[in-house]
Amino acid sequence: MVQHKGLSRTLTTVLIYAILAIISLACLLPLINVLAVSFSSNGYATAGLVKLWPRGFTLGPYEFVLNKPEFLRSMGVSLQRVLYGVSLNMLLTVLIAYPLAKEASQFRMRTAYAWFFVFTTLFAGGLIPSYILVLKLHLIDNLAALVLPGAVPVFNVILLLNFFRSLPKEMSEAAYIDGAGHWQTLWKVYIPLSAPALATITLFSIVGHWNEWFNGLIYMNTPNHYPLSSYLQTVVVNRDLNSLNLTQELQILQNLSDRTVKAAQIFLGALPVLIVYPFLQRYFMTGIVMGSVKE
Amino acid sequence: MIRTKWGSLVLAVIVTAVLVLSACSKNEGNNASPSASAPETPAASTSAAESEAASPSPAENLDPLGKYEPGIGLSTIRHTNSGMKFLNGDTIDSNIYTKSYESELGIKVTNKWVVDDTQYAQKLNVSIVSGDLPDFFEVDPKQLQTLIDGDQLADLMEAYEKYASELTKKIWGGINDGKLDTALSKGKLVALPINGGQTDDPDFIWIRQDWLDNLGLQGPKTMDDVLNIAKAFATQDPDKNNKNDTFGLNMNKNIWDGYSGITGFLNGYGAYAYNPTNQSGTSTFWIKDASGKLVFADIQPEVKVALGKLQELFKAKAISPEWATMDGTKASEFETSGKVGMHFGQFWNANWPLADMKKVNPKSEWSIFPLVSADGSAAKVQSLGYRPNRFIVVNKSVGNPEAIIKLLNYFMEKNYGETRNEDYHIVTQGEEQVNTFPYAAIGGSYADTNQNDYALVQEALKTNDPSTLNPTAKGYYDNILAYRGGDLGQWWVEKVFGNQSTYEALAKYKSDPNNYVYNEFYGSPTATMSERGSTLKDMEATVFTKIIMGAASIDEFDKFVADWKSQGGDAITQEVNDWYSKR
Repeated sequence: MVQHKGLSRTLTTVLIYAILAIISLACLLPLINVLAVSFSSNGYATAGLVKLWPRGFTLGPYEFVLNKPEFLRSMGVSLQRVLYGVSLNMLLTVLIAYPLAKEASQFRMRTAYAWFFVFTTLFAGGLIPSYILVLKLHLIDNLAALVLPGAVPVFNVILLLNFFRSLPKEMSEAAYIDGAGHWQTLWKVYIPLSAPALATITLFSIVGHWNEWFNGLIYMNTPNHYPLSSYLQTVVVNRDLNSLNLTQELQILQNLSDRTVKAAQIFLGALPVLIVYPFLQRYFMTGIVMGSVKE
Repeated sequence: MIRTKWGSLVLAVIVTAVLVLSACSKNEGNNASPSASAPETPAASTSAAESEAASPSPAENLDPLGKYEPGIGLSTIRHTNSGMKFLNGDTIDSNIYTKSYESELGIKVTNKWVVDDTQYAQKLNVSIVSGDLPDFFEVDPKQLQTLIDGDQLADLMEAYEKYASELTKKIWGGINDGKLDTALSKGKLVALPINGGQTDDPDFIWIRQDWLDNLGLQGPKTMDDVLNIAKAFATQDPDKNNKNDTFGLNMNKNIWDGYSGITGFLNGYGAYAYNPTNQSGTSTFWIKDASGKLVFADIQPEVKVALGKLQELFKAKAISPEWATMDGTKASEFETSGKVGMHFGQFWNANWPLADMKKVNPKSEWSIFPLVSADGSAAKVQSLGYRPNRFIVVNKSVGNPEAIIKLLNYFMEKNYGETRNEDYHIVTQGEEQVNTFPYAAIGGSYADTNQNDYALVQEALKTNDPSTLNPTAKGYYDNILAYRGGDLGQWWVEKVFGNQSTYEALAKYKSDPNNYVYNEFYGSPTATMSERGSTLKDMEATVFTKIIMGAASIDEFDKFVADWKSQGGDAITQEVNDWYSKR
């Protein structure tokens, strides 16, 4: 019996490890392939002969990309967007989640406000009305058009709201008895205790702003104002081979095979987010509030 | 209790206030910057107002290149691509063309927005729907129809008749001949077609010459030869690696592509189907039947025969079983890595995707064969580029529509006229050749620019005298010599403009106008086409793919024809013939 139990447990463990290994490989291999292509010479890359190790090793693509003004400029736009966008996201998320986390007995209009926000996740104006709104607000071609429309990430608000609710009520009551108002309670008690949740939604917010490309394309009027993801979209997307019959487009075709340069740009574009992850990861811990309240 | 309640109320007010204020303050900051435009007026009407105010209608000065005094302003939108290079300090907003427009014509052209080629249609659609249009801009046929229906376009008839220069009329033709009649709507000239007239786009048969040699085979004379070569490539180990790892014919899932599509194969059987899978089913191909009526090319019996032959090849394993999952890029990898020895494709295939292949595999050699027919007679080839599909339109609100004609005259004059100036065409900067002609807000060309350059290059190669070449042709000439001197990077130039090149083959096609089959329908997409086209196109793509892969019998084609007719095809045919009779 005991032996059998041990065996099945081992089997289960092996199985779980195998599945997890496959999933992580599925995430990792495409990235490694892109990296390998970016270090390979163009001929091998175009022929699809590069798998996980570069062939015809060269640093050429990186040299080319880093000397490309468009790439660095759009990188700068993206950094600005993340700076403003994420700060605004976080400020508004915290300020909205705190009151909504209170019970209806403390905050009578809570349900109405909550629905006000949830409503926006269920119904949206769609592309054209959004565009007209941004146009009439004169935000076209302005970084604000990328920051303001998504300033309140409702999904993050709900996450944080639920986290605030899971904090023992006794703690905010204790703070209240010690003379703290709502502001003090929020900044001195809730925020420090919510580091894991805040780290998570900060990450969501950073990745969201970094990867979003469509608004950049629609709201920005010149490629000079594109964030990195919009710029990469224009570089990486496959051309329609039907429309390529014009004599003037011969030179475009030359660039079609720049797969190594595309790969280098994709990798450099993903790099900042890859770097941010480990730094935020150390906040991903729980159990801080354990033992803070005696039942 | 009371305190808490008040507290939460205050907080709620603050949250609301922060939301409102943050929106407002940013908004104010923005209002200040575009100071010229009044808050509610869209920019299009503003600039139109400007132009009206600025030009107190100059007394009928019909000079095609006459200058506006005082100057006027026109707004447009542009698309660029990563292949577009600029001279030092120039941009798409400020370059030799924008500067000369202003100094010589008195027209200040500003770009409302600039976007990459691939996103142009989408961004323009948003602009059209939200009514945020510039003074003049480029559209595709579907957008043209939308704008015609919305009555948003200026009539250019009078402006073209009065202001188009002799040169422009020579290159573009009069209102009723050549290409301009594709832009007529109810007697109005609603657009200027900027392409069309091209006959450079038929397919060729591209075959690995080294594989043919290995197997002791000759180039194809009939379609049966093509089938036999494909089967031999699949079964007889043409790359001599003692592995059964090669295929005969390369295809990709977008079967109408100009690379590894089936157009050329179908042409060989007298079939002229065309309905691109990644478009909206409104760019279809129509031919005349025996009775003189227009019929949809994709439902003709010849298509069935050709699909049957492709099915035969697929069953003989001469086509990769995975072709229906490969796009053009994947298919190109398959080919440049030496797995397949033949494809049907257009003249630029040498440039992409085959350009770098020789560097990886020096033994590979491609030959270009003109299309062959089933019975060995000259195959009639299909050309789509003959009919325009890009147009410049002018916003109805523009007070000086003739200004756009002047911009066009200016382009023609500087590129092809007596005052031709290479600064407006191609400029050499250091090692690089920089094309400046794409900077022009509106342009056009003789249809046969490349063909003429080919003839010039050939002549120069024969006489070893490049002194008479224009700078473009000189570039090709130099590159061909470089290739022959061992620079494999210039292989494509040899293949496009050199010996046994695609333009040599095109010259054969062009030697007899009867070699070509053109689309007989070149009106705007019809109502039913716009409504049902997308569904019908999907149906067609599915049925054709299934038939080729043997998943459906060839008789499924007859069912497709019946379905197509009953699900809107008959109505489309009626509309197309109505257009044809009224034309």
